[in-house]
Order: sequence, then structure tokens, then C-alpha cells
Amino acid sequence: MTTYTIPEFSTDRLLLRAPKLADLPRVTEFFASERSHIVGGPLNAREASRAMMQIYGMWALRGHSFWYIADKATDIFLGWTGIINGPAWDEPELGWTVVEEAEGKSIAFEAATAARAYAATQLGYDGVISYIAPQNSRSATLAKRLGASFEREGELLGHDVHVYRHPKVGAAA
Amino acid sequence: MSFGAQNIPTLTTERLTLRALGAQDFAPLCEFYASDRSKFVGGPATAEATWRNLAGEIGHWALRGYGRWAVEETATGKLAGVVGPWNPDGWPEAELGWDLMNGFEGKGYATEAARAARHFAYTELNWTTAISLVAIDNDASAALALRLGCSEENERFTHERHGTMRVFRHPNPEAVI
Repeated sequence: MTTYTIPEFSTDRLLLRAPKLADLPRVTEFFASERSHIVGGPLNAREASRAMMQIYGMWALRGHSFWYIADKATDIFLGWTGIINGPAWDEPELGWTVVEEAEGKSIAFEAATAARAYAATQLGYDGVISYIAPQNSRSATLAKRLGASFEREGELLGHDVHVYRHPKVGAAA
Repeated sequence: MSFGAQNIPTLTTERLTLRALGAQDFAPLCEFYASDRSKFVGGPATAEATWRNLAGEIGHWALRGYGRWAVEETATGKLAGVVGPWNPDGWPEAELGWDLMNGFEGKGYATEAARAARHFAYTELNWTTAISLVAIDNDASAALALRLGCSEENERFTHERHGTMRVFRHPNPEAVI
């Protein structure tokens, strides 16, 4: 028998939780959009569902991965955030992605702040990096708002990236 | 509050242990996916893609309640293959799949593991039928399907990563349980 656990917790407005099959239509809609090209899209329905399965498996393999961000009141899928550390990664990364409707409401900020605090206090990953595509100015703005600063240019999976370094947030976060 | 992922059961056969895939299987899977032998199952693939494939195998259990196992050679503890029920979104219907790692061919392991997996699917998952998809040029896998009593269907299934595959239908539960 093998078991693993995906912790779930809430912030003021959001729930960070495991993916659900009920999220799949919205996840597929996101991956069908031009917006998803930053995170490897566009992808069709079957690849979108594969991405969802992989999130579960990463929790089992690493003890961390992405949470889906859901609206606390309605449980509607808004994006994802969490720590990813694939074989091609230099070190554990804090990532975030939100759907278009979640833009401009500080949702990514609220979720990423909570995920970063969890990583620092529960996983021992403090002062993590975020990989940001050079053209993704919105994400760079959010990184800076989170207190991260540009560290270096890098490369990930064949793409040029900017590496941002987060401040240590430790137990105080 | 937390999500507790589904328990993944372990099955044993005469020579094999079918257990949950885990981090220890990454290295042998990389070797398989780096080799030409993986060309029938979407390979060759990079380490990054292999890691995601491995994560996807484990995640299939969480979303479907079943999935494929690591097939361990009991005597040595080595990963001999990945076998089991598979039906991700967009699949034509519930399938029994098998991949044999490099160096474990010709021992009857895939047959032994696939029989155990089919028995599980028919008795524990209550499947009433099952198919196996075999890449067009994968003669060894087609021969295995026939050894398991499958018959080939007329239609084929085309997948963007796996290419065009032959569809083999397994005998019904009453014939093999």
C-alpha cells in the first residue's frame, strides 16, 4: 500500500487544494487559450488532464507540487501555485498561474504568498526562486511585489528565463 | 484539512511484485525512455518528460481509482516493467497496458503481470471488457496480446504522441477468471 497526502488550506479569499475532476473543464479551457503558452500550452483536453494527473504524482514523488487555487466561497478553479522541482530545474521553484478572470484581483499574490510561506515553514524551502519568461511582465511585476528580485538570466526546457530570488520568509510568514 | 490519495494495492504473482510506482523507479524509467525501445510508447523522452510520465502514472490512480503498477522482479527487486489498467481522458476505452524495461524481455514477465492486472480489472474493478493498444510496428507486443487470448479489432486508434495503434480485445471475464 502506498499513500501520500496533499495538504489543503485557505487564505482570506482562497482555498489551496488538490485538483479535482470537476476542475477539468476550466483547466482545459485555460490550456486551450493563448494565455497558456507561458506554461507549455496550448494543450488539448487530454494533455490538460495529463497535466492534472502529473500534479498528483509530483506530490507523491516529491512531497510537494502545485495546489489548485479555488475561490473559497464557490470552489471554482482560478489557477495554481506551489513548488515544482523537476529534473531540469536548478532548485525548487515557486510557480503561479491564474486564469484570466482572476487577473487584477491580487489572487495570484494571495495564493503565492501562502504557498511560499508553506514551503518555508513546512518544506524547508526558504528563499526560493521563480522562473519567469522574459516577456511575461505581469509575472515579473508580481515577483517584485512579492519581494523577489532579478538574480540572473537562465534557461529552462529550452526557453530563456529570468530567475527571480525570493526573500527568506521563515517562520514569521 | 488534506486530500488523502487513494491507497495503491500490491499484487504478487509467481515471480513478480506489482506495487505502486515511486521515486526509485525514475532511474530505470529514464534508461528505458532514453532507448529506442520506448519508440512504441511515445519515446524516446528526456529525463524531464520521463519524470512527468512517472508522475502521471501515479496521478492516474488518484483521478481514476486505479492505474498501472511498477512490476518488480521479486528475486532482485529490479523494475521489470510498468503494467496495468489505464484509461486517461481521451482514451478510447479502458485499456490494459504493458511496458517492459530494457533487459527483461523474453522471460514471460509481461504475460505474467498482464494476467494479474487483467484479473484485478475484472474482479476488483468489475470491468466487463478490456482492450490493449499496440503500436503498428510493435510485433512483440502484438504477439503478447495474442498469447493473452486477445483478438484484433478492425478499427485503429491514433494518438498524437503514440501514433496509430492496433486495438486488441481481451477475452471476456467469464473466459479468464
